[in-house]
Order: sequence, then structure tokens, then C-alpha cells
Amino acid sequence: MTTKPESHDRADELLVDALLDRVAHPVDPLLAVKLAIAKAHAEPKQRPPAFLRIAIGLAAAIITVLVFVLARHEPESVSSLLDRAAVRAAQPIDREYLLSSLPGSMEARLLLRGRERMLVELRGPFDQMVFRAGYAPSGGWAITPTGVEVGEPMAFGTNHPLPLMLNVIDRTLSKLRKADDIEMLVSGEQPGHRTLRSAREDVQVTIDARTGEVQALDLSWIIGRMRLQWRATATKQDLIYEHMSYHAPGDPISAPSGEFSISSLFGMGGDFPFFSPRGR
Amino acid sequence: MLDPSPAGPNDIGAQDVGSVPYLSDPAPGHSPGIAARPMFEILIREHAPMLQTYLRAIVHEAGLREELFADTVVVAWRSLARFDESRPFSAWLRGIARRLLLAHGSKKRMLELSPEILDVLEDRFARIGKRPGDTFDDQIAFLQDCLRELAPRSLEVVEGTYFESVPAPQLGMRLGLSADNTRKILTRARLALRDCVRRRLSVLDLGDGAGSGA
Repeated sequence: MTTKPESHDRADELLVDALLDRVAHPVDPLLAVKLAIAKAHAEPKQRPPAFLRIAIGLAAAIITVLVFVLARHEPESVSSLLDRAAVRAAQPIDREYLLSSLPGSMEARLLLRGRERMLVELRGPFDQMVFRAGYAPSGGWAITPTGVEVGEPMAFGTNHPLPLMLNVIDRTLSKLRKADDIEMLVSGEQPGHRTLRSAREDVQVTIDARTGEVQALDLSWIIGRMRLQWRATATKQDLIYEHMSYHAPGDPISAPSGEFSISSLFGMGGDFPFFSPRGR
Repeated sequence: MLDPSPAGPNDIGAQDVGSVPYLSDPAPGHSPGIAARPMFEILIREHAPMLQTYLRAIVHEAGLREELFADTVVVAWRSLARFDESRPFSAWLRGIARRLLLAHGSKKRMLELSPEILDVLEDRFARIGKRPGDTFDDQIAFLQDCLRELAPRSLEVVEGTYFESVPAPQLGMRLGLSADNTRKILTRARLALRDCVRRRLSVLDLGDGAGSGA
């Protein structure tokens, strides 16, 4: 078997590009290695048996149909019935699934809030950052900033499958950790604001230099085929979630924009030199 | 002739490919014991720069590269029992990364590299692995010599492009060149670097499958 000269040419061009990139940006891969090793050492996931998942899915569907049938007679009870149905159908199984799905660097604490909705507090790898997630009545998982009830329409990213939600959190933290090429810009528009930007990690954070509160945030991830862009601008502590779209060519799907309070989601201080410490 | 990576003890099975989102869950108890962790971590840390550079060569998109890096480590850990210690760990890692990319590419139609190009790249990285040096960066230090061989103007263009990430039009303005001229100089410089790298890696006889023996 012979190899075509053009294959050699193309391969060597790719090699030269990669080597130049390595020489030009000799990034210490320590953090990436630590995260990857943590992921590798996490125990294999144990999903419930397929028949059990199918049975639960069927039960949830039957309950949903019943709820809508009942709703014709008692429209005012739909919301609470839906909530309880979702909790009953999903909570026992997802509780186990969540714990076995967590990335190695995270810890979860189960909380129960409100009308027995499941709420999970996720920490790490930065102890100062807390993401809360809950099983929304609509049937998916939501990342919810502290102070916002699970299931509220303003929660970021409702209806995500659990692994995706965990992946988003993991990547947010990972990007912020890895941003070693960060440059600091002093904003001329807003005195006292500083913008920290890492071109390589595709992350930009504007903070109030005095309090550490996040004023604006621009992150993007590629997760599988999906491109998530989370652009947040802040007035005091309001965050605007602008859009999220699928990355598949010709298949744009945009979610509606929403607003919610991030309260202490980011301005927690601690590991980051650019977040000034604040009490939690 | 290039080694097409025949199945062997260091091969990963199809069941290992395909989870976050394209690796399948392994069978319970498939992971090595806790005693293997320190050694595995040392090996991964040692080979991470090589693996990242390899992924840089085969994947353009930074996010996907991160995913493939992490997934390669995951699969390596879960498949460690099948690693043949008489063969290079670095080649095994690249094999995993390559298969993950193929699995990813076939599903998502993102693959632009032919198996032949991947074979040639494997050959080149294997050659780099045989060069003297304690670390991967030591082994690719020859690239600095190649850069020094460039004409001063070519070196300026290469440094502006790769080291400072300046687009051709702006770089041209800075150097008093048109954008087209800047791109031409860059193309010629890359060809010169390619030839230099081939010489340093003792790649000869390109028309006849020179990459054999990787």
C-alpha cells in the first residue's frame, strides 16, 4: 500500500500548524489533565434498567393524560397536580441517577424545597460557587441561581437532560479555571468596572471591582453538536439569558430570552484573584 | 507503507467508544484498581502535551478538542487492563483519540481527515517520540531551528500569525505589505517549515509511502 503524496503534504501541514501552536502557546495542561483524570476516575455510571425507565415513562405519560382529563373538570388544580405527578414519577429514580452522574470534582447536596420539589446544590471544584439545580415540573432539569425557586420560568435552561446540565456547569467552572491568558480591561463606560477576557477560553466576565459582583458575562461552549452561548448583561444583579441554539448546520433553534436574578451565583469571592471576597 | 493500526492488544474495542456524548458506559468493574491510579496519572501528565498537540493537528475546534482530550483519558483509564506495556503509551493514547474522533466524525459528519492522512500524522508523531529529549517540548525543539532558518520577513509573518494571532490584513498593514502578499509569504513560510520538519524527522521518499516504520 502506498500513501499519496498529497496525504503527506496535508498531514505535514497540519503537523506544522499544531507544532507552531504548541511552541507559540506552550500552555501547561495541568488543569485539563486534572479534570480529565477526575472524570476518568469517577465510577462508571449505573443507569436504572431499561424496563424500569420505560415503566416509569409510561406511568408518567398515563398520569399526565389523567391530569389533563381531570383538568377539564377542575382547571384550577392542573398546576399542583402536574407538580406532584412529576415529582412522584421522577424523583426516586433521578435522585440516584444524579448522584451517579456527577463529575468527579463535584459534590451534591439534596435539598427539598417548597412543594417537595427536588433541589440539588452542586459545589465545586470551586467551593465558593454554588449552582442549584432542580427537577422542573416540565420534566427536565434546570440550573437555578440561588434565590430563585426551581421550576420558575426564569431558571436557566429548563428541560435539559441531567448530563447536559452537569456538563454546562462543569464547563463553566473549567473555563474560568483555565483562563490563564486572561487580560484585564478597565472599562471606560462604567467607572469601577473591569472586564476580564480570555480569548482562548472564549470567556469574558465584567465585574464591579469593588464588590466583585458580576455585571456581565459572556461564555460559550460546544457540547457535542450543541452550541451554547450564554450572554449575560447585568444591571445590579439581573441577568439576561439571550439565546441558545443548536450547532447543526441549517438547524437553528432559539429559545426565548428570559431574565432572572443571579444574586450570589457568581460574586462569591475566593479562588479567583479577580473576585473580591464576600460573605455567602 | 504506513501501519494502518491493526487490531492488537493495544486496540480499544468498539464498546469503549461512544459516552459524553459518545463514550459508552463500560461494564461494571471494568476500571482498573485504585493502585494503578498514581502511575496512570503520571503517564497522562507526561503525555498530555503530546496528546494536546496531536488533537490540535486533527481537530480544528477548541471545544471539541477539550472533549476529545478528556474522553481519551477516560477511555484510557477504563481500558488500561488491555494496554500492552511493551508498546508505547503515547501511540496507544493517539489510537484512542483517533478512534474517538472517527466515532464522533461518523456520527456528526465533522470529520475532514482521511484515514491516510491520519496514518501519516501517526507516523510523524511516532518519529517525534523517538527523538531525544525528556519531554515532548524537548522533542519538538527542532522547530525553533526551523524557524531560525526562515528569512526575516517570513519569520515576522509567522510570528505575527501564530504567536500573536494577528489576521493577515492587520499584519500586512503593520509590515507594510498587502494582505495578499502577507498570505503568500505565510504560505511559502509554512512550506519551508514543512520541508524543514520533514528533514528533521528524517521523512524521505514521499511518493513511496515514506511514513512506514512508525
